[in-house]
Amino acid sequence: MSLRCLCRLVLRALPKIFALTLSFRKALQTGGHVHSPVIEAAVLGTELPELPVDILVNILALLEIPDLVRAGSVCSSWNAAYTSLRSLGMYRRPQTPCLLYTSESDGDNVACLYSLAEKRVYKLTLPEPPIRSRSELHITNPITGEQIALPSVTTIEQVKPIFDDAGAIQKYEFSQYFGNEVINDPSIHSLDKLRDHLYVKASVFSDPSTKSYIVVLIHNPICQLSFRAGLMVRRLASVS
Amino acid sequence: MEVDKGKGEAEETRKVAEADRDTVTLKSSDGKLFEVSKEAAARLSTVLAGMIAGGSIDDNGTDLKQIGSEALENVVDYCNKHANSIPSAALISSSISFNTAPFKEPEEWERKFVDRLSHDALFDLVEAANFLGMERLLDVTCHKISEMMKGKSPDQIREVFNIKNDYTKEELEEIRQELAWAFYDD
Repeated sequence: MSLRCLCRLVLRALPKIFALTLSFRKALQTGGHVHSPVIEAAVLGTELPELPVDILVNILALLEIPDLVRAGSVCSSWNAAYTSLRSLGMYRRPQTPCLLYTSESDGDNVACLYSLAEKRVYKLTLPEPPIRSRSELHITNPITGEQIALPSVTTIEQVKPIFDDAGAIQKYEFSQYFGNEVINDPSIHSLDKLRDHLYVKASVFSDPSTKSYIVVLIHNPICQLSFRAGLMVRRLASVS
Repeated sequence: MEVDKGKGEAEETRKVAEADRDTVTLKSSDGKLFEVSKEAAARLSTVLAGMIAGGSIDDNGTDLKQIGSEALENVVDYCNKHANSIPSAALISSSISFNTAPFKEPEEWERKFVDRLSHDALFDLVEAANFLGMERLLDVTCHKISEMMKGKSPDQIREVFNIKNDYTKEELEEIRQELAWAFYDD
């Protein structure tokens, strides 16, 4: 899959993925109004009155994600509001688009998120394995580092693993046929190169009924369509 | 406008008199009275709309014990200004459902309205708007507060809002590790 495709895919899904992921830590405080420690201080005129969690959620729902992450980490009651906002996923404003890209100079495990709103780059650490060294697909949330491995590339019927003596996958054999029609001779590809020949495009859809995701993959030869959800791989039809 | 002496009169008479009036009188927690257009109150506040429809408006001043006079003055001021501005159709429709409609940027007068408030007054007003079910005023005040967080590090936000960092050292470290990417160097 080309990097551009991946970027587009991740960006489109980013707010949703972010909204649906589990909290980054245990909820420190349950909901309700969290007044007590601050009221005395407010009377003394040294602190602002503390906002009830429901209002705080309304406020946080208007922030861009980097601002939201920072605001959600200032204290335990704000963190509780942040956590409930994330579990509700009720963002009131469309996020300003960010550009997600990788660059060789930053290393294999770093993704750069350029915020158009703030005109600055955030460097995100991606989970293993390095994004450039594989043809296996993952759904990754670059914000939280959470990752789901999709069914192996070898479950696509045209792709066969070639094992080395130790039984590890060394290369892939890519057979270029469609139905009974052979388009090209089979070709051999290294682990990090198969994707350049195989993938055309991928789209992510969330499936609220199972709280999971479905990936629709368009791949070669001749732009076939695969649906990948959980452990199921099913070729549906071809599109040309 | 003179406030009618509603108490002691027959309930029927009072209700007729009330229906004839085009303003409602609201009483703050510290006993101050404020008049606001009935139409604007009903349109902008789901709670006041319910009270007007249910006939539970007191001509001597409907008690709003949760709202101080400064915040109530701002609420009434907002209602009056809103009544004077030409409300767009979109604005009216966004005030129907709670918290799910996409946010609409504040208009110029709304921005000016919240900009002149002190932090304390702003925080009191956001709570009053929440209590009265004033969707749009809640949005405008929440937006103002959210602007105060923009582009700030957690430490800077704590400073602006006078928040005590109540995490333990371990919790803070945990947060830092997971969210280090978003932290400015603070």
